Amino acid sequence: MSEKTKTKYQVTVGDESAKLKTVTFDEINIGDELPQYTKWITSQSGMRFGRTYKDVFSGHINPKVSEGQFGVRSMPVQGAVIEAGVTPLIINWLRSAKPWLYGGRQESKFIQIVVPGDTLIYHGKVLDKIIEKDKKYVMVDVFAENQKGEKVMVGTVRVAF
Amino acid sequence: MPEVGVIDIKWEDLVPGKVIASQSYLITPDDIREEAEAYEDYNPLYSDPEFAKNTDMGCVVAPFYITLGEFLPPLMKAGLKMGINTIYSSSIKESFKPIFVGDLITKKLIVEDKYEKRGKKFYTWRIEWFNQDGELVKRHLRTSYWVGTPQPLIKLDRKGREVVE
Repeated sequence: MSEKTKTKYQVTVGDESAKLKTVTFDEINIGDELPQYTKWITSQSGMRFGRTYKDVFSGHINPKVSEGQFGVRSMPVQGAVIEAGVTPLIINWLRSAKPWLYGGRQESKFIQIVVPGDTLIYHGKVLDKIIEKDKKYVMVDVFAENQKGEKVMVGTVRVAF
Repeated sequence: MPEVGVIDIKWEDLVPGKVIASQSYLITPDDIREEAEAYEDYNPLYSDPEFAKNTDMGCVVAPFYITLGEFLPPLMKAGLKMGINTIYSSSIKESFKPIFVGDLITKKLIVEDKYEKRGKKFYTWRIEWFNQDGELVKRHLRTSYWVGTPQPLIKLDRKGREVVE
């Protein structure tokens, strides 16, 4: 139980000795829906990610190459940018990165391109809970949809406790 | 993606099981922060040691999705050209252990599989990350389809101007 105190100015201060509250395996139920996560895609999204591998002229950042590479001039963002939105979805839900970094698994399929101006909303729903020896796993169905409600990425995620 | 290599990888060169390239990295705070920023993920767990100290990780850690340029830097190091002739279609990413500042990571790039389906050519990279203790910390199976070199192909001249081929 958190012990709140007040300062001499009657400002409420939280309990500094309270433990972190994270979501545990036992608190998760099959069918639980994860809090949604929203990611806004701009022309900077593809450029920022492109800098990590020194991209100076791919179809992700150049409309002429985009037409030759993807058949459209709209410079779709890299698939890696789309799938990366699953990480904050999971961490925000669990209030912890541990089950994600120690044994996490993400399987993704890209359904359609995502272009600057799109808004992606990531969803997740708990599919199953599995206990194997000393490990406990939670399987989650995930997908990202755009502002028109079209699925752009679908996948399955595993977190490990 | 930069076509700076000199040796062009051809479809025929992709032999399942073949190790194409490997590269080692000393993980710095900037590597982790820049990667998270590249994905527009501003969770301070990836950049702020004071903040990270108060989380259950206890210190700054690399995000699950870290790529360090994925397969391109090892390819370029080996003088190999490839990049814009493929489109990413699906993936399986696994994190076995977190990656921390100061870890020495060796990334190995292997051809996992190649096949044709509905008239398209697909191939899968297996990218394995090992730490300084030889432990597998991360694995990525990345499937793309082969589209060939797009036209027009834009390159940069020495003054940074676009050159259309």
